[in-house]
Amino acid sequence: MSSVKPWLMVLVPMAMVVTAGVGLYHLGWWQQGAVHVVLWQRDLYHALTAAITRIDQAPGLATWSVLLGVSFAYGVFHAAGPGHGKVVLSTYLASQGGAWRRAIGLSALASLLQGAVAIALIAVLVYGLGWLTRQAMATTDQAELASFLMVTLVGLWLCWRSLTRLYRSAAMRQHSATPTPAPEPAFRPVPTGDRGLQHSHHAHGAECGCGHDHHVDPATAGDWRVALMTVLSIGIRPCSGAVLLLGASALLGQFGKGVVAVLVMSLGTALTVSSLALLGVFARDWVRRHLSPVAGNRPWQAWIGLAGGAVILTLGVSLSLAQWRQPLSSPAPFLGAPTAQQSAPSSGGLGPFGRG
Amino acid sequence: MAMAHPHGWVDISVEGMFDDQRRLTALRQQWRMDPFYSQVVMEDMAKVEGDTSMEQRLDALGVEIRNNLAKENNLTHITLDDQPVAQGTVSDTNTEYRGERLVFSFVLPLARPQPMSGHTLRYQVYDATYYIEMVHEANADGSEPLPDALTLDHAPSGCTTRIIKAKPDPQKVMEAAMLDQGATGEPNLGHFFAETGEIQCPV
Repeated sequence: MSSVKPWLMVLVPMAMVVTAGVGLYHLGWWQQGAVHVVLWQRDLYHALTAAITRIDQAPGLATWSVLLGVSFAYGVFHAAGPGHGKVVLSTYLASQGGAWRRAIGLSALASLLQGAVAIALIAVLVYGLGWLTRQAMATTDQAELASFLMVTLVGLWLCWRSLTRLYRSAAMRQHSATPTPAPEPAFRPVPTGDRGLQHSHHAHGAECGCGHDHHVDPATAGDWRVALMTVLSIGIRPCSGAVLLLGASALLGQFGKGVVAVLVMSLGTALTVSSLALLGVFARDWVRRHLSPVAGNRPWQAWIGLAGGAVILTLGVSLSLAQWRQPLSSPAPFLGAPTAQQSAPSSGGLGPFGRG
Repeated sequence: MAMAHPHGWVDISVEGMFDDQRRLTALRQQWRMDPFYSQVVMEDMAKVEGDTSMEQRLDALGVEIRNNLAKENNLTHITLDDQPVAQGTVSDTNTEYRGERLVFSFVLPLARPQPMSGHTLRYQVYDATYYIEMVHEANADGSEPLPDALTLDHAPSGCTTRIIKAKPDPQKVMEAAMLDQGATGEPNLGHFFAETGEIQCPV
């Protein structure tokens, strides 16, 4: 991203989401909006299948642009419904800190990872191991459980980290060694950038490790580990729709085009998810500016970090339990598994229309 | 687990079958599975082991689909003058691969033949979870159902048909969409987005 454009890239989706959100809410269009999102998703799915089929018959600029446009739009609206990934990411960003750049980075990473996992699933299981597409799709159930368990871990980690910070800050205030208000670790933006800022101001945070080299700050490393885990917990679960699209396009001899479509779809998803994440970040900053008179009010912010961790933990536990209790093959597939199911371990009588 | 929305669709067409006593006896249905799903199923069919012919394999698939559907009320909900109508056992199933689509057809008899004069019969075909969208055969942009999507066979003169588009109640859709993830209740979105077929006969 260059120097001017980032703001454009932030402001445009932000403005879109905010306008849409305010409009929907205040004018009572919210519920109508939910209906339309569902209908758009449906129409886009129809268009997507048509586009893949058509590009086979007449590959060209027109068919390509239709395919890419439809894929992108599908990604945008696919992510528009409530989903645990967005909740986790927004809660994480709002409560743990992070600048808008990080919000965009993590959202984009998570969305692209989802697409990449779907592509890898078909490439490895279907092409590599010779599974049926239907069987590959059934693995999204397991991926979902893995995702929920990781969300639980992220929540646990965040809670633990906030608690240690609260403890440390309590100890710190007793010694009160730093005269300048230390930047708040819980709200530290992108660690590297912030680190630079600290140096230029010669104001070292409590966790800066004054007197030491700043090569590897354990807190920062931990920060990134949690961030990566958050991304992983969301991205590990591919949408079964994407898997179906890839499987079908592979069967049509269009796997490459399916891959392109899914990647563009991920970009669309990234746009929606990062817009929501940015909303969370901006809301947090607004709250911090207006409600917290002292910028470095450490315990107040660490408590928020703890609350955010608790929300994510609760979400992770309840989703995991719900998934655990659910019979592995959900009741939705009315079209049962056809007869060829001897080879792969994951075929549990689940039709391709497993839910996800 | 995000808000339910279709990940596949089925184009349906329905024929109301009358007997010689001008009674409605059955709804013959044809379901055309969407192209992606059709591909995936045909891949399965091609990989079945043994030396069965493709027709035999498709027949076996048809039996399986029929058995699955039987557990789900055949995804069909029929009312006569707004009273529920009981269904008989599905017969005459046929499964074929035609025009790059998997086509499943069957006859769904009413439990008892139904005199229709002066009555209105309505049906809806839907997957309650809305994972799969069931929609009457429509024109190219999907805006209008085709006349062929609901026809009558041996009907008394004057009987009419129409297909009523879904008008989902936003409030209900929102409620269904917002059902807690952990809650046992399944979002019943499919119901709200279901089209209604109507057969009406004069007195």
